[in-house]
Amino acid sequence: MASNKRLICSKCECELKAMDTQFTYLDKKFRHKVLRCPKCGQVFIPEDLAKGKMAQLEKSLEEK
Amino acid sequence: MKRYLEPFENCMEKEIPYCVGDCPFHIEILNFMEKAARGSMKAAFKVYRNATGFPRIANALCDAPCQRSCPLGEQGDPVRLDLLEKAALELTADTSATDYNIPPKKEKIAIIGAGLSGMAALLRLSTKKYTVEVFEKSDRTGGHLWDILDPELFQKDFEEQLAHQDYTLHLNTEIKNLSELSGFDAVYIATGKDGQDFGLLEKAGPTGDKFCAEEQGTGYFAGGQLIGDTPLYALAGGLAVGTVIDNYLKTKSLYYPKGHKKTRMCVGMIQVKDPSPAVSAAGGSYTKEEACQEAARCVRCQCSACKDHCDLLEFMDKQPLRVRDEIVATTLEGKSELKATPAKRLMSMCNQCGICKEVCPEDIDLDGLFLLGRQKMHKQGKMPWPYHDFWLRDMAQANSEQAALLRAPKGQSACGYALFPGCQLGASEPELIVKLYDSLLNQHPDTAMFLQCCGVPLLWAGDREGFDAHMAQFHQAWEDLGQPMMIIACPTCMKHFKEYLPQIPVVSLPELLRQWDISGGCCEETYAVFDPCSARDEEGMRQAVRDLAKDLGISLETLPDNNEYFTCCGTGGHGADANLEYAEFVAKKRISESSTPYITYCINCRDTFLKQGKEARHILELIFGEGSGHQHLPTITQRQENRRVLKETLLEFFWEEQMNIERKEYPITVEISSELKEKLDEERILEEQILHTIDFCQRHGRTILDEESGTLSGYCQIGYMTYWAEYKALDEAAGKFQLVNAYSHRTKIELEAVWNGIKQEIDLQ
Repeated sequence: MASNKRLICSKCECELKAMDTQFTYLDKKFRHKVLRCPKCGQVFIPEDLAKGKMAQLEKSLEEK
Repeated sequence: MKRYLEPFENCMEKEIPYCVGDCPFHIEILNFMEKAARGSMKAAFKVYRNATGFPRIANALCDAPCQRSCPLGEQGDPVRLDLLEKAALELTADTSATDYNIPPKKEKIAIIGAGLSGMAALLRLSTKKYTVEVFEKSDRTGGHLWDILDPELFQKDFEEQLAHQDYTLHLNTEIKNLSELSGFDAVYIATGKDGQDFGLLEKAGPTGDKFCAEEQGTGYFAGGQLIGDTPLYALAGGLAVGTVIDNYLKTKSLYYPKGHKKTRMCVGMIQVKDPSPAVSAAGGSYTKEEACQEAARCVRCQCSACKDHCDLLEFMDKQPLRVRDEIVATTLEGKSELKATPAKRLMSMCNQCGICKEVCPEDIDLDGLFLLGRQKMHKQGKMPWPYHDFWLRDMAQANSEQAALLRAPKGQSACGYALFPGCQLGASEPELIVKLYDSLLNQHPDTAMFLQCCGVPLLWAGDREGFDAHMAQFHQAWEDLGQPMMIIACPTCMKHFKEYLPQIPVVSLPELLRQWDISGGCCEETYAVFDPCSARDEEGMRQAVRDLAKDLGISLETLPDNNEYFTCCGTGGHGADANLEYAEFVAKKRISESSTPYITYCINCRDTFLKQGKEARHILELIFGEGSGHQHLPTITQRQENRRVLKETLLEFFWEEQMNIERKEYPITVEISSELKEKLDEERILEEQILHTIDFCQRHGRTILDEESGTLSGYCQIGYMTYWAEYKALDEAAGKFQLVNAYSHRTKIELEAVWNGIKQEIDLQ
C-alpha cells in the first residue's frame, strides 16, 4: 500500500479508491475503508491487511 | 451443565492454606506474606492487626500453631511466622488504630467481664458502632492477663486499639443477675475461668450451637476462659463473637459456631523440594531485610493441581474458577450485543486431554465443561465456526466416496474382524495401511476394511447431534459387516468408541499385533515411547507398544512427565485453529522433555513432532519398515490425495477392482511453486481452493490488476473462509495460470453493492 502502485478493477478499468465497506464476523457488522472500485464496488484486501489489522480484529471479536 | 458445575463447589483454588487452618485468628496469610516479602511491613502489620485485634497481646500469647502444619517443616524449617509477625509489629512506627466513619447503631450490647475476651468483643462491636457497655467486677481491665503478661504491653494495646471508640466501662460493677441488664439487645458473658455463667454453659441455640440462648428478645452468648478457652483462643473467640452478635442483631438467628475452621487441602498436596533453612534473627528479631527473605520462603500453599498440569491454564495464566465463570457467561443464552462471551476462543483451545480431571483432588471435569460449552454454543448457532471449519471439511473428505472404504474381504460377507485405521493415518502414511491390512488378512482372512473418520471433529466442534448421527451410521455399518471385532489403530478413535459406542467390541491395534504375533525386522536404536493423551485409560495398548518395540530390538527410555500424566501433543480438541501459538507452545513443551527420538502410536502426535523438527516414528513405521513422513510430511492437499490413492490401491490390491476416483476438474491449470505449496499448507489452504478461487475470478471477471507487476488478484468465499489468490496469466486462452501469492481471512466481505453510502442494505432486499 505504501508504494504508488496503481490497482485497476479489471471489469470497469477504474483505479481503486479507499471507500467504506461492510464486513461481518461472528454476527458483528462493522465498516472500514478499504480499496474498492468506485464503479462496481469490487473490494481488494491486501495480504498485510488480512494478516495484520483484520486478523487482530478477528481475534478480538473471538474474545469479546 | 449442572453436572459439571456442581463439583466446582469443592474447588480448592481459594481454599485456606494449612497454617491459616491452624491459626486461631485465620489471618489472611497470603496477603500478609505478599506484603512482607516486598518489604511493606506497615501494610503487613495492618493485615496482622485486622486479624488479631490486639497485635501485641496476640504476638506475646501465640505459640505459633501454624508452624506445625507448614509443609516446609516436613523437610526443614517451617516459615517463622511468629518472628515475621513480631517484625511487622516492631518495624511499624505507627501502630495506632484506624478510625472509620460509620454511623452509630441504635442496638445496645452489654459485655460482662473486661478480660481479654470481653475486650476483644468490645473492640469488634464498638468498631461496628454499636452502643456497648462493659461491666467489670474488679477495678481494672485485663482480667487474667495480669497474671501472665506485662501490664504495660496489654494496657498499651487496649488503649491504642480502642482509642477511637465510644463505649461505657463500669468498673467495680458485678452483675449478679441478668435481669439487671434489661434494655440490652445482646449480652456477651466473658466472666473468665470459673466465673459466673448465668446458666449459659448448659444452654444451646436451636441449631445446637452451644453457649448461647435467647430470652425475651435478648441474645445471650458466653465465651472466653469461662467456656474453657486458653487466653489465645479467648482473644480469638472474643473477636469472633463480635461477628456473631452483629449477625444475631441483624438476622435474629442464634448462629454461634465454635468448631475450628480447617483447610480442606489434604496433607501432601503441597510438596516442597529442598527447602532453604529459616532465616535466623541475628538480634532476636528480624530486620526488614531478614523479614523479606523469610517471607519469600513461604510457598503460598494453594491447590494448583490443575494449573500444574493443564497446558491451557498455564498458557492463559487462568485459574479454574475464573475459567468456569467465563464459560458460564459465554454460554448463557442472549444476544451477543447484550452480554460478553469471553471464553469463545478459550473453549476451542482446550486439547480435551482430560488431565485436569485426572489430577484434580475433587474430580472437577474442566475438560467436560469445555466440551459442553462448545455444544451449548453450537446449539445457539454461535460457535466460531472458522475454528473447526477446516477439520469438518477434512472429515467430510475422509468420509466421502473419494476416501472411505467399508468392505468385507473379497468373497466374504460376515467378518470376524474389521480394521479401523482412522482418517489421519492413511492421509499421512497410506502405504502403512496397505501393508498392515495385508498382514492382518494373512492371519485372519475375515478381516474387513473400515476406512473412515471416527467423527471426533464433529464432537470437538460442539455438534453433538451431528456426532450422534455419525455414530448411528457407524453402528449400522458395523452391523452390516456382521458385527466384527473392531481393530482400532488410533487411540483417539479408541477412546471415543469406548465412550460413545460401548456395545461395539474393540481391540487396540498394538495389542492385536502382539496377540497375532505380527512383528517386524530389527532396529537396534534407542527411543522413548510418547503416550498420547487418549491412551490414558489404555494400559494394555501402552504396554503392547513397548513390547512391540522391544521385540524389534529397540532400547527404550522413559519420559517422566508424559509416561505418567499422558500429556497431549497439542493436536487434541483441534485447538490449533483457535490459537496456533498455544498448539506450538504445547508441542514444544512435549519435545523438550527428552532429546531421544520418540515412538508414537498416534499419527497426529508423530506429525506434530516432525513438524517441530523432532525425530519421531509411528510404531507401525518401525514394524513394517515403511513410512516417509520423516523425509517429507505431506501437505494438506497431498493428504487428501493420499486418501484417494489409498482407496484406489486397496481396491486394486485386495478386491482386484479398478476404480478411478473422480477428482474435481477445473477448466484451468495453476502452477504453484514448492515454496507457495508450503505456505498454503501452513495456512491450511487447499490447492483445490486456489483453483476454485482463480476459476471463479476468471469466470466472473472479478479481478484487480496490479499495473506495476501485471498480477491479478481476486477472492472467493468458501465455507466460512475468504480465500485470496494473486496470480499471473501464463496463457489465458489455454487457461494456464501461475500462482504468485495466496492468503485467507475469516471476516466476510458483505454486500459489495452497498458502498459509498449510495445504496443501503435495504435497497438490495
